[in-house]
Amino acid sequence: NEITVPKGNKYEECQEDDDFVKEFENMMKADEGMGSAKATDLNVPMNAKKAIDPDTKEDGKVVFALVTRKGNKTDVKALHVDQDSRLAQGLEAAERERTKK
Amino acid sequence: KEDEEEYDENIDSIQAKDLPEHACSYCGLHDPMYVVKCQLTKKWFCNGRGTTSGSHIINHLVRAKCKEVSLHKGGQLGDTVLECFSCGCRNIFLLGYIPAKGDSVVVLLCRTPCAAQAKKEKDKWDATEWAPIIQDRAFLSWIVKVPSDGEQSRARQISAQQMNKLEELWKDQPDATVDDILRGNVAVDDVQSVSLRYQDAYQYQNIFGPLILREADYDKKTKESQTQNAITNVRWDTALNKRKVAYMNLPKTDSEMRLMCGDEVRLRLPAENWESTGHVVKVPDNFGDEIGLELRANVPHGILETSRGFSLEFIWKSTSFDRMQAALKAFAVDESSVSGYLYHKLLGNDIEEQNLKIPSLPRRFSAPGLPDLNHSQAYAVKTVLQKPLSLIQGPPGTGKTVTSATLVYHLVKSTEMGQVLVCAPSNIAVDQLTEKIHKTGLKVVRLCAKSRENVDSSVGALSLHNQVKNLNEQRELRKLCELKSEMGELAPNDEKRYRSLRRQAEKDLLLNADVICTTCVGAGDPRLAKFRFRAVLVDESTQATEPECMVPIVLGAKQVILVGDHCQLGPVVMCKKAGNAGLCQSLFERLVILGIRPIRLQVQYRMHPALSQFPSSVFYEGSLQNGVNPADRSASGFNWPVPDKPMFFYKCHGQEEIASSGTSYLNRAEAAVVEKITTRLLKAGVKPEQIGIITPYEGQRSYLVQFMQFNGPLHTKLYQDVEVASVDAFQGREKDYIILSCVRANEHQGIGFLNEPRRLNVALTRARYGVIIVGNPKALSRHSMWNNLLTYFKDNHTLVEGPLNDLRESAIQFVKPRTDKN
Ligand SMILES: [Zn+2]
Ligand SMILES: [Zn+2]
Ligand SMILES: [Zn+2]
Repeated sequence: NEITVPKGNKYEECQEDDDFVKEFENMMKADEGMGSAKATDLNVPMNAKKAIDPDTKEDGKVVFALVTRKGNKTDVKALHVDQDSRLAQGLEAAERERTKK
Repeated sequence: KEDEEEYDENIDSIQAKDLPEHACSYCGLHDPMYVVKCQLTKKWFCNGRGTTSGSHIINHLVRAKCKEVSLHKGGQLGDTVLECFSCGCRNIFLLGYIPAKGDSVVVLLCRTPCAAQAKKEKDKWDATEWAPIIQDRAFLSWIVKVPSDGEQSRARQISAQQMNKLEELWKDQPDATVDDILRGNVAVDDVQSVSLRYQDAYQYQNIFGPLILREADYDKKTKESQTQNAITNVRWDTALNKRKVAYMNLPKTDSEMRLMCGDEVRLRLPAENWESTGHVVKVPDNFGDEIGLELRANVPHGILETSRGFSLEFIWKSTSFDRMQAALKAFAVDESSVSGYLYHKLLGNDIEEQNLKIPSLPRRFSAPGLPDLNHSQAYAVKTVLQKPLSLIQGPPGTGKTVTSATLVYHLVKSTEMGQVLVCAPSNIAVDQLTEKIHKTGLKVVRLCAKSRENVDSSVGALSLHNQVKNLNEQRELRKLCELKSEMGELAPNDEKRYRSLRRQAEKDLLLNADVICTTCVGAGDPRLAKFRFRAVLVDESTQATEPECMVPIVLGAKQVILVGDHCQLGPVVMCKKAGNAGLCQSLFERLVILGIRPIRLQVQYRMHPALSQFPSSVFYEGSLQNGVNPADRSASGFNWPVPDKPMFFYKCHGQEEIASSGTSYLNRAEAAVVEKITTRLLKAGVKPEQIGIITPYEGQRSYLVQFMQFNGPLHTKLYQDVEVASVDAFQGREKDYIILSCVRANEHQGIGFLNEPRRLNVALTRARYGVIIVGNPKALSRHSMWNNLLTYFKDNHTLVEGPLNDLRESAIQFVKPRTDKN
């Protein structure tokens, strides 16, 4: 796929965009803290990650397993995360620590 | 019914696909990987940010105060629901992800209270690692992919300001688009003018769509207003295919809406409640003013005995306009319609120049079967092969067709572009190019409109419908075909089988062709709908409107070559409003203004050097060089007033008259002079086919034809074979001798068609051996362009009068030109 980008196709500063940014920060800060905040146990079945086929790993990426709820069961989806992302770095660091011990 | 399938288009096949439901409501991008649905408004948005501070989905959620989304099944995470694993909260502004400690398991948790809770299970969860799923005001790329810069530049461009307006508009009109905002300032009755550059293909479509609509409406109204009632003198005959043909006379008209062979009509006899559709098989020509209509249905005996009381309607077909609209839509909605480079270039965006990679340039640029190329032609071919977008300007007689055909040859042999699509706005131009390309030995298929399958053409053998008939392997198809022409029609089952076999045979022939030739509008034929053409050449592209030129381009073009001459006639636009808004500007011209320099073919091989002088200096800045000597274009037998200048302007002070129909002009005195000149040429041994008579008025054309055949001293057949037509009919062609009858002789009114410089250029550059103009200098000289021409003739001692065997210079003085009005 060719990447043909017109010159000058960059960010355009304007009042409307500034307003959006401000409003965005507000929405990020809002505390929902609603009734659904039951402190349930985080019972995440760790072996769920076995459902991910390691061979599907894409180049330059690390595979993680996103565990979600689907009705009464749990579901797993493969996450292909960049090697230099926080997640991947964190995992790498943890593995280094573990091998040290 | 049977014939409806033959002559009507399958509407579905013309409509370009619409944007899918999940296309981004801001920008139109629609790959399922990139889009997300807002649960509140049910609109989809993409994760690209364009020129703003956040991705489109975030921009929308913030403006509309929505907080929940759902993913597309076809996206990276499939049908995963974005919600907190613990409490089920779906507010994406609160959601984040957290990895299990030292493990590759990840869950989604809301910031409060659940992430805080996870802190308490320190050994299992690394709570410090919680991060929101929105980073940098867009979804993380592993949740919703981010479209590349290239892909975003191909989508509809929208500013933060426009997003605000759109969100406001959506409160009342949930289906509004950015186009509605942009169009907001234009009054309903007005059309927006074309631009030089366009932001995106949606804007392009928004400007050209309404213009095409206007033109289509005008075309339709004009055609329908030509209904003729109470026709008398209808006579009947039977054609070779056993169908009945009705002949009749219609009033002469100069409108560009002239009847053409293949046009659809409906003939009715209201008194008997009878009607039948059919098509035109004869137009007013050298064999008489009658038109002939071949009718589809069987004509009852009683009708055949009738000669009066008929009504004739012209059936307007929206096909060509539908195809143009579909092309505009495809350009906007289908990213595969053109390459990224062409997309931006056609819109007038500023991008890096690109060259195409060719496996190897041919060593010799001339093609087998065609004349050797001269220097500028070879240069053109060499340069164009390597560029994705090129313009070639071919002034009259410079070998445009040979150059184009050679170019096509090399495109097939030396590049990896696959099949080449070759188009032109007119059938004649397509036929000429087809003929030349065929000479190189390539496999060519000429695709014709179904309505023109029975029209004679010089390349009939290469037409798809004829090649199908001659396929050796198709015994069954051939038998059915023969049966059909013998019987007039087939039994329903046979007809079905015939069509199915024919469709398959056509498809095979098209797939195996090296080159497919058709008109621009013909490129939108359903039989080509599933084809992709990476290399496209459009000849006479200056005679096509932009949307017309786009039809062949949006079939997947990566390399486009436009050949034309903006100093010759442009496209025919009948609706003045649409024309004035810019529909009359060809794509070729706009690209020239945008700075793409056309490669010019410099050497003309058609005209005697004396004939090229005026057009070269007035229309081509003197750049036209002569590739022929006076000796190559000197014929004996005609006593030119100045021996080495085979041209003159004959002063004729006759009256212009309104032709009997009331809508055209004629000039008897000029007609008499034209006849004498024609006779002189014929007597000198010139053959009728070598002579062309140009006159802009239908009234004069008809009068001239009759006058010559009636009053000319020589055999009628000789005069019948001399072509008499308008300038437009001669564009792209040449004759040995051209006689131009100007007709207008009124000093106080305008001179109509003749005042268009490009038309004069074409009229003056058709002839190889000699040009004779017959006209009224007093009337013409009031217009500056004609004043120049008359002065040129005068200065060259070729403005003459008197008996033909004793021409003498005219002493006439002209008036100064007034400021030009039409
Ligand atoms: Zn919403
Ligand atoms: Zn978008
Ligand atoms: Zn929660």
